[in-house]
Amino acid sequence: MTTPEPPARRRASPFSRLRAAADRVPTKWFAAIGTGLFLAATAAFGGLATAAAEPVPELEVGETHTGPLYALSVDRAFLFDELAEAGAYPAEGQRVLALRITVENVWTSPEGFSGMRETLSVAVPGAELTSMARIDDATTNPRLQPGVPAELAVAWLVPDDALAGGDEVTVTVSDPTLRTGQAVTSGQWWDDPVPSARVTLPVEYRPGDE
Amino acid sequence: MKRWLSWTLGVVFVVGAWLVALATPPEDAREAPFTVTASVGEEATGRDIVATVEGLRRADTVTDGAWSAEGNWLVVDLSISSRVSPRTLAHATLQIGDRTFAATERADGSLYQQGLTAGVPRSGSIAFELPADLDAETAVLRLATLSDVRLDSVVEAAVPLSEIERSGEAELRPREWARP
Amino acid sequence: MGSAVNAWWRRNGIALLALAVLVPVGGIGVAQHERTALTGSGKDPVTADAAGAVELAGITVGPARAEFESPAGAPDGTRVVTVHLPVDTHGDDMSCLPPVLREADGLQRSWRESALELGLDSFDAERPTSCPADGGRWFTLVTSYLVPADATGPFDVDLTWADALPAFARLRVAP
Repeated sequence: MTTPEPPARRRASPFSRLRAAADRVPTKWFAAIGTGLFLAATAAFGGLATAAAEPVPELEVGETHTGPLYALSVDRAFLFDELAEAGAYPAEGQRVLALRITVENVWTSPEGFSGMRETLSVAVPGAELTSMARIDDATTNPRLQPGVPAELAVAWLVPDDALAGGDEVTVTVSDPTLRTGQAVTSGQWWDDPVPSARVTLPVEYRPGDE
Repeated sequence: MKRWLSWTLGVVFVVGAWLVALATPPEDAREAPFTVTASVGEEATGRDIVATVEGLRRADTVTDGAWSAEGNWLVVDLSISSRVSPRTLAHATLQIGDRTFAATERADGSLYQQGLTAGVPRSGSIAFELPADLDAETAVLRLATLSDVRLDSVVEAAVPLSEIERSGEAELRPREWARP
Repeated sequence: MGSAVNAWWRRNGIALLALAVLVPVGGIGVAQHERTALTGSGKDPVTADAAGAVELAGITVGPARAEFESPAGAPDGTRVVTVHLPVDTHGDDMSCLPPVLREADGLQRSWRESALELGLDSFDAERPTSCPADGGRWFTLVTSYLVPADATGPFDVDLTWADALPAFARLRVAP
């Protein structure tokens, strides 16, 4: 059995005074004080309402937007009845909207159609992105190597009545995020496109295919 | 315990922990591929792949029969077979710095994604399309039979890019059974 | 202290016994299921009887015969093994992939039929390489395999079809 030690002297430190003060505040006030502090903080950062989406910058036809994966420019838009060369096979009541783009993979590994899916979209009701192909040698579903620009045709199937020659089509270029697999998934893929630029251009109708 | 002793032990343990952390392999080391290093002209054998890099060429234009393409091309001439079972050359990449390039799928006559036969080598070429402004001196070529190379054999060869003369045009070797 | 431990064992004895039996059984069951699911190409070879034929899932396969050939398209240091595999479907529908050739010993290397790469006519209706949709009751699969010269056999010919899974037919040939 050890001898009892003399009681430690209470030192008048700032912490002990704070604790004494805190001990005197009724517990149920903490919730109200916490809420008040939270509201004050959010007010300082602009309030709780959803932030208004920033307007997406307008791009010129042929102007390049550089995202994390692709730097691309939309050069022309065509409407075809069919475009087998680009891997587009419209069904009854559909036509093909093809965008001619110049694109460079600015990431560090090859990427293809799945990355394009997260980058380009068109404001045409009922449009389905279906395929893409190189313009120079008609390779379908090409893999774009880092740092090597290419001209591609990117094709959507659109309902017959959605577009006509001469109409304007709005194309949205988005910036996706690279996701890396964790735990039970592996590999990397692009996801969560954030609209970052928009370009509007006229659609040229080409009867037959070209 | 004496105060100086406990302090010294504390410091020793902290330093020891730091050394252990330094020696710890990275997260993905568990699943790293099994690398077999090869030099040009030398046959390299992995678990189910046997590959010989026979030539390295650079050119501004690559041709394969009727197809041709301009760019900054690296052509790798190789003979390749599997060792035990039917396989495919599913993984053919070139790593330059932090960028990875995949063999081109644009040339139908290349060996990329072609079948490999156990014990019977096939000869031909694969080609890599590289950025026009590339100024790297070396690269690493990797060949494997599965596109996901985790825990699989990978044949690796160093490519001395800056030492390979660049010509105007290079034709892919015809794809055929290798002549011994 | 001792009696409390004993009481714990008594209370939980049956549960522990159940665990000791069920966990290994469950583990083996999962492992077996995974092995079948992963290979897809069958894991239970059924070998031939004295007559050299395999009866499996209502289909009779074999007896098989094989010979070495050296056609013009084969490079030095290789030969071609051509396998003739008769099939009697007894009127059932049957669809299959071309049979796989496998060394019976050594590295047990295996080969897929390579008529196309050898320049042989792989679409000849008289020499089908896989079970024809309209082949009738009897047909003979004729498959060619390019093998290195040091593959001397004997070989096994493995034929897999959906109804037989996870089993498949394995016939021995010595060209």
